[in-house]
Amino acid sequence: MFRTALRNVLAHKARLLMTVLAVMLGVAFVSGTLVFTDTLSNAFRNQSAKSYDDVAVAVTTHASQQDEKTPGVDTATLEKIQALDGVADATGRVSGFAGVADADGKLIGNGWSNTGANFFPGKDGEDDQYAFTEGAGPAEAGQVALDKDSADKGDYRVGDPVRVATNGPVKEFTLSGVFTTEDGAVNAGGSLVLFDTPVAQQLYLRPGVFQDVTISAAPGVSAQQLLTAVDPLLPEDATAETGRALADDQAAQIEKELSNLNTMLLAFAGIALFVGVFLIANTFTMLVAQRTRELALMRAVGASRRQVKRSVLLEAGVVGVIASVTGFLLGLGLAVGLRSAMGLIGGKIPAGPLVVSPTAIGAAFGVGVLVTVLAAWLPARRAAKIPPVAAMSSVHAVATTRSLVVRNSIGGALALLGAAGIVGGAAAGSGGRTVIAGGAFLALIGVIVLIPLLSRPVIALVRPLLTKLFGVSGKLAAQNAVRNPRRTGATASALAIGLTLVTGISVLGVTLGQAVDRMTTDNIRADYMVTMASGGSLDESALKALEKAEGVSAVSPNRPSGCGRASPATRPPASPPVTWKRSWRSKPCPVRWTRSPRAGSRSPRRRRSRTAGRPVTRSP
Amino acid sequence: MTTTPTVQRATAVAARATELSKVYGQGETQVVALDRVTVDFPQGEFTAIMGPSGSGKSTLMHCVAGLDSFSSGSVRIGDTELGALKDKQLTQLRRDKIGFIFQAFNLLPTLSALENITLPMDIAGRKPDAAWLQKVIDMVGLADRLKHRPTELSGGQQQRVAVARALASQPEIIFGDEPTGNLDSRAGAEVLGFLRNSVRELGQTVVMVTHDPVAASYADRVIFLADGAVVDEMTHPTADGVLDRMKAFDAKGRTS
Repeated sequence: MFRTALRNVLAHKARLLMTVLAVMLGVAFVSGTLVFTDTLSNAFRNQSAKSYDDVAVAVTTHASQQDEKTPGVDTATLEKIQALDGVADATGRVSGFAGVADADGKLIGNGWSNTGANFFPGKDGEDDQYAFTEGAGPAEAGQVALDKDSADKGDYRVGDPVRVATNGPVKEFTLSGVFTTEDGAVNAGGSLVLFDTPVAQQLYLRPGVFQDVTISAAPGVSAQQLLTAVDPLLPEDATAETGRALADDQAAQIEKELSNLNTMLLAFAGIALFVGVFLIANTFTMLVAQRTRELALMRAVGASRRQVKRSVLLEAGVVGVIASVTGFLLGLGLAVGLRSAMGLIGGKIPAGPLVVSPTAIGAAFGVGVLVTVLAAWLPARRAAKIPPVAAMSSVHAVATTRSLVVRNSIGGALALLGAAGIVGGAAAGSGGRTVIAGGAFLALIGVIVLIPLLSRPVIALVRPLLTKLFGVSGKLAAQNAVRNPRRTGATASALAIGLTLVTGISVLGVTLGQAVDRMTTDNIRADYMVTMASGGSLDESALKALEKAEGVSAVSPNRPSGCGRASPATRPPASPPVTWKRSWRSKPCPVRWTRSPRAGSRSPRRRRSRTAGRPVTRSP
Repeated sequence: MTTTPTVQRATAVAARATELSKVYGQGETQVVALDRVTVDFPQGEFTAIMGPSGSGKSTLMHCVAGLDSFSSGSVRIGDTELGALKDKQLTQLRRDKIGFIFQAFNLLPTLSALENITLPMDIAGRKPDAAWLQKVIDMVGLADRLKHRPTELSGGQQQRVAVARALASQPEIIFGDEPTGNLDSRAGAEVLGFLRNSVRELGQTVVMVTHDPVAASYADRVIFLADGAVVDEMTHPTADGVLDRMKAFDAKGRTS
């Protein structure tokens, strides 16, 4: 039996190709997604483990410039920690936002992380965290060091002047060195500026105070021992944790973020497989109809219904395995491609091996084979019902004249239920979204089941046109389409689903675009809006600079309550731009200028970015 | 040429139909395909079923061979009553006790000649009896064609494969549905010769539906069917004798 099934697959290669393609795409999405996210999370996990490699204990104080009450770790405490038994070294850290401008004034590292921190040389004058490829760490107030990627992007050499924006006016520093680091954020494409420790403390906290302390252990001392020793020295509100625990926390956080990406990509896989199910069912229905005689012969010479059914399912299984293997390989390629694509659009991913987990392999084959076999189930059942006497007659088995009553009733019920869901959901307002979605899905399935019924009036409608345009061919085409509504339905449903997907996605795209447009036009009357890329507050000096800028008629600082940020706009906004702000917060420029589309009649629509501190001229 | 009413022989009966009726449709559209047919197919005999188109000869064979259901009466293959069997048991009966030869050869195009011959045993999950298989293959003269696909064989060769397939599993009875209908006279004669030899030399029982008097003349006995009923029977037929008898039916049909 297996031999017969295998031979049949080989004999119908061309016809099965479409089926294989559909399943292959689905499997490729599934395996590609799993391999990609596995690879990504492995790389990030290694990264975070590496960045905490030398850290036995890390102390966090949550001290900040605005919050005077939370004490940081002062130099005296740090020295006490350094003097503890079992401490090899203890490093004090302060950090905050620091954007580096390139020669054109654009922000380097258009990413989510633009950080500034202190350079903390140990006894040997080096900071273990940073390995300098050029120059050395900043030794005086006017110097900074840059991570290698950012220095390359800005084309900065040691000795060049570098403009750095922090939560205050932009300052110019001299580049003292370029370094590489295992820091996770930097390896993921963020920029890092190192200041001399007093400068960083001045910028981000208070002189002589650190936010965080990282402690490395002397040989033979466990992180747990150190933790117990360090704890009593720390100020209130400070937390100390082992490096291992922090690395695990970070890994868990990353995994959580990646699972969103996972869900989105798997949704695509689901759609591909959904379409695949129809293609497979369709192909196998045709194959079974075509082979009625052969299958009847099998029945006549003693194959049981189960054997016939199994032979068709086996055939589907072979197709599924082929599709899974090719799909899985394609998925691997997809994962590699995705990784480099993310590199191209600026998201830097830490290097790491391609991780192919047994789960990914299992999922690929499970999904591919299972979907194919399940989709072939109905055609297989139909094959098993072919009477053995059909082998005798020289004519092919007559097309099923089985009544469509059952099918139409099911389809009608589903469609009605779906329609009710849509109407009910719409009546329920914004809370009914899930109901609408469920209703739409049911209605879609219902309409697909109903296609044989629907095909008749639709064909009757286009019939005169066909006859007029194509004469006898048109007439024959129309008659053939009506003759076997099931066959027409099977062919039409695959197309219908494809069209559903295309319209669905384009409507979604247009709706989203318009919603964003409306949100901006509704909330902002200003021509430009200036915000900090870090999400922090804009310095008062920026306000003065803007007021003096040529062509600016009005500047109004916008201070939403509960948020210490000022967003000056050339005209007061009609309402607090809370929604607007949220939708743009992720935009990565140190300072952002946004022309509101509503002002388009007065000057051309334009969006531009400038680095804070530069004079701004409004274009006419 | 003697016409004998149903001769009850001393030999065992391979298949028997008693008061067998098959009715299609209901009410006004009712068609009686078989009307209380009683017929025996003794073991080791080559029987031909003849009759004009629509006489019910194919239907009779389908019902006796367990391929089709019947309305009333009884059919026995050996000791088994078919009317009482479920589809599964009927399938097993066809697999283990019956061989088939079809007009359109009905070989699986994806399998080689040998694989087609052993198909019923493959389906049953049995190993073919190697010595018997060799004997059958030698008899039909296919030894050098076993690896070929059906499309690479001539019509006569394909039907020889079908004959070998029917013989290979040593069934109790072989049914042929116009086995020479798609062959030229030479290839047809070959196939009929094999069937007759299998009866004479191997003791096989063969029942064949045909409308060709020459084909019928290879049989030991001919049963004539008209309008769903057995109307006549002839032992040790000759082609001319059968033709004359058929002409007589035709004339009767025309005058009546």
